Order: sequence, then structure tokens, then C-alpha cells
Amino acid sequence: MSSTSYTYLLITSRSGSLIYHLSLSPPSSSPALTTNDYLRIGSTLHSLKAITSQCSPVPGDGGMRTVDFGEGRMRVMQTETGMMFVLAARGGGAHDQTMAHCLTDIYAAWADWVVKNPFWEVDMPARGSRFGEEVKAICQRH
Amino acid sequence: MSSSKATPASRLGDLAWSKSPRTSSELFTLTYGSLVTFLLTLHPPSVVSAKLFSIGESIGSRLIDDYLSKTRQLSSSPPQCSSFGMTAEAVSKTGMKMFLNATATHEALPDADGYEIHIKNNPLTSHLELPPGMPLVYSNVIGGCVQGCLKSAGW
Repeated sequence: MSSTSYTYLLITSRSGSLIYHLSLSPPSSSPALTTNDYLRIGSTLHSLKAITSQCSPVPGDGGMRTVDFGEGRMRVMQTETGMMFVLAARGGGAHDQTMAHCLTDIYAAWADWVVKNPFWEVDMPARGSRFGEEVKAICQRH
Repeated sequence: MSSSKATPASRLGDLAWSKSPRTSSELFTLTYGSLVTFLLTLHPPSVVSAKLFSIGESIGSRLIDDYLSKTRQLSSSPPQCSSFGMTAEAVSKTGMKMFLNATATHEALPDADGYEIHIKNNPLTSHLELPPGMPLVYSNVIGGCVQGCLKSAGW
């Protein structure tokens, strides 16, 4: 059983448009985010990632990777293909390394269940329920 | 037996191959063969070569995510390609092995800024007999795939 309470996953394309979002917490525990909320969060984080990669104290670093909210954390992973995966969690048990591993497994599930879907086109929004089930299973494991 | 020392890229390729799901290699070879044969009924061989390349590019634009995600899963510090030479090594030692189970070597081109990748046991051509003189690049899908991958990865 997972000790971390994940709240949501969102994925943006290389241009910053939202291509996937999934709520990972039960609807009663945190306020529900609408699709518009996810769109706004996604594009804001995409711009933030670009800006922080330029003002990073470590040149060539890649920019923002973790946002610490005290009682929660957001972990960002950008792939070499320009896609950005954002995983948010709450609670004291949300460790950076655990979430990083979780995101790596989520990326592999993306490659298996969305990328290999012949009806999905690159950089288009994805609607795979199978991918969503995989993400939930991965979050349970971590 | 040639003594080539195992580099991190080749070790990663072997590990990725051992973890990837398998299918019959004959099914793979013959499916590709029938695709090429069918294309040859529609177009002359030089056009078929170009079509195989563009098929490869579509494959590559998706395969890159598969490659990146699997190598990240398997290695805590996947090789970051800071030079084109490292990219060539990643393509030949990791990529060719994990997707085709093929041994490949890469060599810098003497007179141009690039690398030549030589694939030793290409599964696509294992039962192939081409008529002599046919201007067909049979495995052009592999070239297209590499181009598609590198393009999506920012090269």
C-alpha cells in the first residue's frame, strides 16, 4: 500500500499544450480540478520550466524539478523529446526520490500504452483508460 | 572472438534486450518482407526506398519515447549524450541491440561530420535474396527510424 497520497498527474507536449491529466486522489479529500484548471496549470508550469532552466544557478541544468509545498510536493520530469510529466502529492511521506522513480515508471507506461496506440498522434491529447489504470497501479506501488 | 570491452552503452543495450518482450524473429522478418514486396507491386524500387525511409521516420518519432523511458527505468544514470559520438554509440550499441537484437558498430566518417553505423546481424535481411542490380535500399526503414528518433530528441 502506498504511503504517499498522490493528487494528480499531468502531461504537456513540447509546445506546452496539455495532452493528459488524471486525478489520483479520491474526490472527497481535495477540491476537484476542472479540465480548464489543468490546462492553466499545465501551460504555466511549462513556461516556468523554460524560465527556470535559464535562470538556474547550475548552467545547463534543465530548470525546475521539484516544488516543495511544505505539506506536499510536485515533481516535474521533462524528457528529451520535450514532453513534461508533472506529479503532485501531499502528505509528509512524499519523498523526492520515490516520486522520481514513480515518474520514470509512468513514462515507461506512457511509451507502452499511449505511444504504441496507433490511433494516437504525437503531441495530441491522449485518452487512454488503460494508461490511466497503469498510472494508478504504479502510484499504488510507490 | 573479437575482444571488445563492454561499454555502459552496450551493457545497457543487453539489459534492455533481456527485459523486452519477445516475438518470433521469423514473424518479424517475413512481415517486413511482405510489406516491401507489396510496396514493390505499387512503386518502382527507388520510390519504395524513399517510402520505407518515411515509414521509418514515423516509427522513430514514437520509438524514441520507448527507448528513453526503458533506458531510464533500467539505469539509475542513463548515459547523457553530450556529444554526437555518444549519440552514435547509443544508437549502435543500445538501440540496435534492444530493438533488433543486432550487433552494430559505429565509426567516425573520415571526410564528413558524422558516423557510419554497421549492423552485423540485421534480422530484416536474414532470409533475403535481392535480384542483382535492383536499386532498392531494403532496410531503409532502419535509417528512417534513426532519423525520426534523433529528430524528436532534439538533433
